[in-house]
Amino acid sequence: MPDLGDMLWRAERALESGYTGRAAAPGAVARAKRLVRRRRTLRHWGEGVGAVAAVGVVGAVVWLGAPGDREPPLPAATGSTAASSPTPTGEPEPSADPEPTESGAATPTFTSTPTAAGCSPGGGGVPVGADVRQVVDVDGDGRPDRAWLATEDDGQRRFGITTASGATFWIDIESASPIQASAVVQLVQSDHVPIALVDFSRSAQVYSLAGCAVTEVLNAQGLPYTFDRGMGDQGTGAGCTLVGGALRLAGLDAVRNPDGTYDVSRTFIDLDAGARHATNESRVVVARGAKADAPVVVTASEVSCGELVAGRDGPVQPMP
Amino acid sequence: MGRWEPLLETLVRERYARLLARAALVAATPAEAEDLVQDALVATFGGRARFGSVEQAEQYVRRAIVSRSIDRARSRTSERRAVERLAGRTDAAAAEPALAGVDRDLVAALHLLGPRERACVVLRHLDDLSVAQTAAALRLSDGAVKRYTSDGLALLAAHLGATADADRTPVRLVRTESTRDA
Repeated sequence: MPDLGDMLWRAERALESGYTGRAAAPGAVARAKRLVRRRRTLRHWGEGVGAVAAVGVVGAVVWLGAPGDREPPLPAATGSTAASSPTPTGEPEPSADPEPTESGAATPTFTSTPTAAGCSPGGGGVPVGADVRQVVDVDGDGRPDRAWLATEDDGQRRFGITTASGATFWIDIESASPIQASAVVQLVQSDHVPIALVDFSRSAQVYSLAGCAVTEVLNAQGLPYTFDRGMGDQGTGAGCTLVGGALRLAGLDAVRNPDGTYDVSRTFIDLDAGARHATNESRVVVARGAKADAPVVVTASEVSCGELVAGRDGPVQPMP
Repeated sequence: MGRWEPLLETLVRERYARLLARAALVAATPAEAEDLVQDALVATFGGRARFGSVEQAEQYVRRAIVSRSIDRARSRTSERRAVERLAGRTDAAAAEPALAGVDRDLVAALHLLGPRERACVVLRHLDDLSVAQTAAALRLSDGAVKRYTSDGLALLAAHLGATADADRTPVRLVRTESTRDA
């Protein structure tokens, strides 16, 4: 009888032989290195803050324990003391307080400043080599704007908006997925808040474009709101459904039945003012026994918003 | 540039096929294998471990691929659903090599196991780790490792007719390809 260890070993070698010549996806190594750098930086920063905090705690204990001539303690030094100053009008600057992402990595962003005539100019414009598509009016000045996806020289992916008024604001995308990203931009809800859905093939993420900035929308746990694209048990796609004259963001889930048909459920997602936080409504089954090529199933397997579909009606990440 | 960067580049350049092969054994779908390798690279080089050679780094990444496969799959049920959902999707870049004979049957049978069962079987029977070492690598209890390994072996045996003793004491060798081929 063959030994299982030997069988596994031979199967692994057969796979290796089959994969010989297969290279990592373009930009994957650079993306991995960037994530490693960020992880290391955060760890070192955390250790530094921890050490300072430990010293502070020890100092406080010593001070509290010492009787008699106490003096007010000096302000303790910490790892993050700088308060962000107001952004000068018309002069965009990098966000001073990047939000932590689900993976624990900080996400650099670049913002502009809202004015009555749209976002104030600045920000460097569309990066060279970016894939650019005209999209809806993001900044409310009545003119269509442009969305783009770029791959930096070091492999970092960046999604941004360049408005007709000349403002450019963007966010670095932190996803280990080696698959090309694509995006779609739309105005949703009755308050016509601008959002972007970025599709990473295995997952998708929603960003707010309100306030002349690309900002991660956070879920109830304070983590970036992410749509499952079939790898977990939460859903297969994201879309926007027209309700009462306005598009509503929704998570979609197409589940295959034993007979080959699909049941599709939908979860509406409410965005707060400025689309900074998202809240799920109840999950509702919208189709049962639908064929695989039925529009409801196809839509549930895509990232779209209204008639716009990511990969078709928005920018697609260029390969380096 | 940190010392780890050229090591990572060399590892991917020279050992990518080997890493993908390991990932293909434990991934739910061929498409997930590439993601697993990427995740494992970031987890390994972003962690505290330091490596003196590509070989050493490769061992860490291979182990990380298996442990990450469990992290990614929340449950056997959800994974199976994911496989079903993805069955109709094509991803040419992530296609698995065409295998033949026993290799094909074994990999197909592995994909029928749950992620924990797969990971336990691979670490115990391919990497020759002990129950305690497997438990530490996968952050499971010793009892869970025994159970998942036993269940995995039973399923594999049912599909392949292969036999392996779940309670065997693995022989721990510093394995090289030449000793395996001998």
